[in-house]
Amino acid sequence: MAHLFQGDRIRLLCSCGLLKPITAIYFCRHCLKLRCGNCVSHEVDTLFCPNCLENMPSTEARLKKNRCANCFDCPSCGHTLSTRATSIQTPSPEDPSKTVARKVYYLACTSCRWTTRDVGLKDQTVATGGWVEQDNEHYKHLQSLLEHYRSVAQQEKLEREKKRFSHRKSSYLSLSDKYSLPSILGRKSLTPLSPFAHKGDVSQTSEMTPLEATAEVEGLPEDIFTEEVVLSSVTTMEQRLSSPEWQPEKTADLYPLHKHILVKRSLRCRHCEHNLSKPEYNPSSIKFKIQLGAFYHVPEVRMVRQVELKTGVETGVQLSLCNPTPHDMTVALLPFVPEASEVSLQKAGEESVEGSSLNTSSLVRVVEIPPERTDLKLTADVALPQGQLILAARDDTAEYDDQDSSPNYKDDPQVVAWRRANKVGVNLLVTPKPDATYVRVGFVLRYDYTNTVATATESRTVTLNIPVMVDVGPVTQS
Amino acid sequence: MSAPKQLDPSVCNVKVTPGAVVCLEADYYGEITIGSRTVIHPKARIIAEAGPIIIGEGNLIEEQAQIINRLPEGSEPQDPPPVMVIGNNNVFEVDSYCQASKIGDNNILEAKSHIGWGVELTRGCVIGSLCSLVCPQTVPENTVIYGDELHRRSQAEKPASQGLQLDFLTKILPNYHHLIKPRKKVAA
Repeated sequence: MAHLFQGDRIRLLCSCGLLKPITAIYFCRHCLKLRCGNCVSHEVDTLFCPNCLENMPSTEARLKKNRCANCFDCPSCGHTLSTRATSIQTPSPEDPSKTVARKVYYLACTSCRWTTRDVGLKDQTVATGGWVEQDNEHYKHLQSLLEHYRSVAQQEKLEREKKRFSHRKSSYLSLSDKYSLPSILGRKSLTPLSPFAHKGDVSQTSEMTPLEATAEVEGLPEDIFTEEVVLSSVTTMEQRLSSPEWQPEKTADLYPLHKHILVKRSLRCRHCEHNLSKPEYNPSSIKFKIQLGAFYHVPEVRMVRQVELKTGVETGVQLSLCNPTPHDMTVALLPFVPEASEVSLQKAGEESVEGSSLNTSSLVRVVEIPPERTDLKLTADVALPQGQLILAARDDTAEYDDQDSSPNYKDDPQVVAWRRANKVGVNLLVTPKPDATYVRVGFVLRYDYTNTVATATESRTVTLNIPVMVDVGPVTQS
Repeated sequence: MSAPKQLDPSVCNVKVTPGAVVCLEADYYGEITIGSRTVIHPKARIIAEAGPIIIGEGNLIEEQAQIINRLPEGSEPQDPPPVMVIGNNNVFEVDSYCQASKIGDNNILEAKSHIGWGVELTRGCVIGSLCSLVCPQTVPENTVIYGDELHRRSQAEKPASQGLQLDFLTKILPNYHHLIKPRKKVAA
């Protein structure tokens, strides 16, 4: 889809100052502004395994170190391992002289053909699970560290509780989760009867002995210079780092890796707290409950064809504008001045700071996004079509109509090159600047947006300005 | 236009051993010998241009697979002509390309893999999908080549044989395709 929208060529300037393709931009219907991944808050909705699509609550996921219990990745190439079944002949339990066929299972990679048999893991008699976990030699040390930090977090929490009456309540709700402290521990500590309340003194937290740094390291093995290196038996850097606990050096020590679980995120506008994107909860569903992508609300700009550009020569570049909304739209192209847009972005930032100070609800943490600095240098002069044009509303049935039933727009032939359903072609005249090798032009797309929010009390159509940057193509030297 | 019922003897000379399933709709050129239990799908290409091709037993050559014995461009014809020998139980998957000088046993050329001139596959090698080997070299036994960066690893055991698939194809393919029949020995 990104290719279809020419994401590498046509980019919109988000309200935070980043240039992004239309597929990576959201449109907040409440602020009437563009938002992108950089300037929205990301929230985790569901954790799920991408292979078995089983979802799990975040506490369980944390216990399992954010990995799926049943699915494995290939330690050699990272592809998902699949279960293979074979039958083997084993001596019958009743009569050792006879043999019976038994089904056994092992894991195999379909990409690099690694199998659990390669590293000498025993075949399993059950299809899923049953694989023995590798023991980590540092397990005890890690556990004691976890314990230690849990008590540190405990103590910090107690101290905060003491200060609670003198200080304003902190809004950092996430702090109770520091060092993966189970919330039940946190709740217990609020009661004076809790055993943790008494233990929360300094002596308990300092029982860890820090490791001593040493200058002496183990010498290299004797045969390091004499033995020939067999590259196929040594693991690569990626293979080692994909299992950080063991970091195997030999391919014979590779062990199936539990698959990382993924999250479904919902995105929220940081200014108005409305959802911009909310996926359905079910991991196997790829639909969204809310999806305010810019390509549903902002006229889509595409380059019609690639043209040859020469320094100093005025060339016609045709763009198509497409209206994705079910309302007619008045569109005009205005010149784009990079410096002015920076100023306006800064102004917008200041305004919203004032706005947030008035916001009395303390639950909402409004985080200001500092405006990004993006290179907005234009490498060509552009002559934009003057005047306005009307983009017809999107009509899904239009393509099935036999006769052209579209109303007749009084188009200025100077502006509109062609018109088809909800699309319009416009011509720009681009003159590459001297010593430019790649032509980039910009303009401000001004259009009347029909507000679809039901509660909107003001006028239903709003005029919006969206800066658009078009990478027209390389300049051929004449 | 009906498909030709037999091969043109002026173009190719295909010797089929009894037990092989060799579809007529594949392209053949030159001197080709095919061992028993080998299955050649329609639309495979076996071109013995520079010298004969000898295919062993139990090989599976799928659609659009190309096995070509051809000298690199610009080189002189050799005397005696190079013979391309393919061992037993190899699999040439869909759209693989093989110009290897010699192929041993139990090798797999996955879909769209490419083996150039002068490469020798020993035994149990797997050339992964879209992997391309063009420098003359000998691939050691049980090597797996995979991924777009041509990672190599050596496998503990040779890849599983395709026995069941061969049996199935031997039963099914004659129902829908014309086969090249083994030539009857002329009584002396």
